Amino acid sequence: MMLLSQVLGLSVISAEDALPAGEVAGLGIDPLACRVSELYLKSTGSGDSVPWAQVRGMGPDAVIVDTAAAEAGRESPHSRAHKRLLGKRILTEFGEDIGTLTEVTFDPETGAVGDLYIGRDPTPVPGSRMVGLGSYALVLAAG
Amino acid sequence: MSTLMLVADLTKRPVVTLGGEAVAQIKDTVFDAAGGQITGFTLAGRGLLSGPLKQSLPWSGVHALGPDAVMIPAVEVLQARDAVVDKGEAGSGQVRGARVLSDAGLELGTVLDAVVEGGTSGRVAGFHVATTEAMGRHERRAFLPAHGRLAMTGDTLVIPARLAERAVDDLAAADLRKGTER
Amino acid sequence: MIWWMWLTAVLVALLLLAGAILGTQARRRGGGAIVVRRGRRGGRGGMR
Repeated sequence: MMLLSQVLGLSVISAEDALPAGEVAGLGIDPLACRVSELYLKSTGSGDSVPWAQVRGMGPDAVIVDTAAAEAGRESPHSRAHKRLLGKRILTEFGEDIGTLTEVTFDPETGAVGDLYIGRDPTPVPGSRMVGLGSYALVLAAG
Repeated sequence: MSTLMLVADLTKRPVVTLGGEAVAQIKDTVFDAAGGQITGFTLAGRGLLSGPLKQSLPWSGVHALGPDAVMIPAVEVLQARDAVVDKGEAGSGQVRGARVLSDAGLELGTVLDAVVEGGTSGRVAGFHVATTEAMGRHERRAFLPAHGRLAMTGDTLVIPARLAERAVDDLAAADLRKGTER
Repeated sequence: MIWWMWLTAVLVALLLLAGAILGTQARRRGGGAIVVRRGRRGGRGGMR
């Protein structure tokens, strides 16, 4: 499992020509599928986001992506809601604010989201409880 | 999940979809006297410059009324403002300032606010009342329990004298939660 | 008057206007509890 905070700022390198494509600015998450859906890059002129399918490998030192993906600049409709994932307000489906998101663990091989850490609570919440992620809040189903 | 809340605290509470988008904030809380139940909310925009919205939120579209947000399944549940309250009703139905009479004909005070049960209930649990001497209480403000059908208009609330005896100082008091059952 | 006095007067007027608009809108967003009686809807409202 990898931590979201670990990935932020990693350099993104294209697999074909070894050219840098940018730095990881954030991860896009599909809350219902409980997976990482895309990678947001700090703007380098090469593109804004890379779909997860185009990520070849993710390690402690770099992220390797297909060249084509790194060049295909596109702004996903959800990117604004997802870019600042850490620090996002968390609401339960019963309308209770339970803190802010401080960490996300995920499998760098499959993109499956593992756990969510909320505030300073050391016990995480399984990512499978996510029901929605928008610009206002991350919504969790009753646990 | 059933927490009691003052209607005044609901005003400005954000209306959030299960998808995590805040689409409006609560303006008025509308309840039906016959059912003793919230029937919906009028809405306002969330921006500094925004005013009341032309849409409203019927209670059937509420997923949960929470302490920090009103959750709705999706923005599609919002309806035209008239679906919840029309202009005439909004003008004559404001409960703040309505006088409270006991069924023995005693004026007990004036309504400050309504107390509702959150979660998925939406029940009107009681009223916050500025009391007169007739209540014979030390505190000048009290919570009166209510249950089910309310004898109420925007001008007057009539409550059984036996309920007036069960006035409490504190919203957390158990009496209000139980309604009239003993 | 000197030129900057006009400028100040205009700025103050603009600030007052902005404050008034923000205040009015904030008040219009306020609300409270409204009681209605279902079944009366459709039959001429407004009776008390």
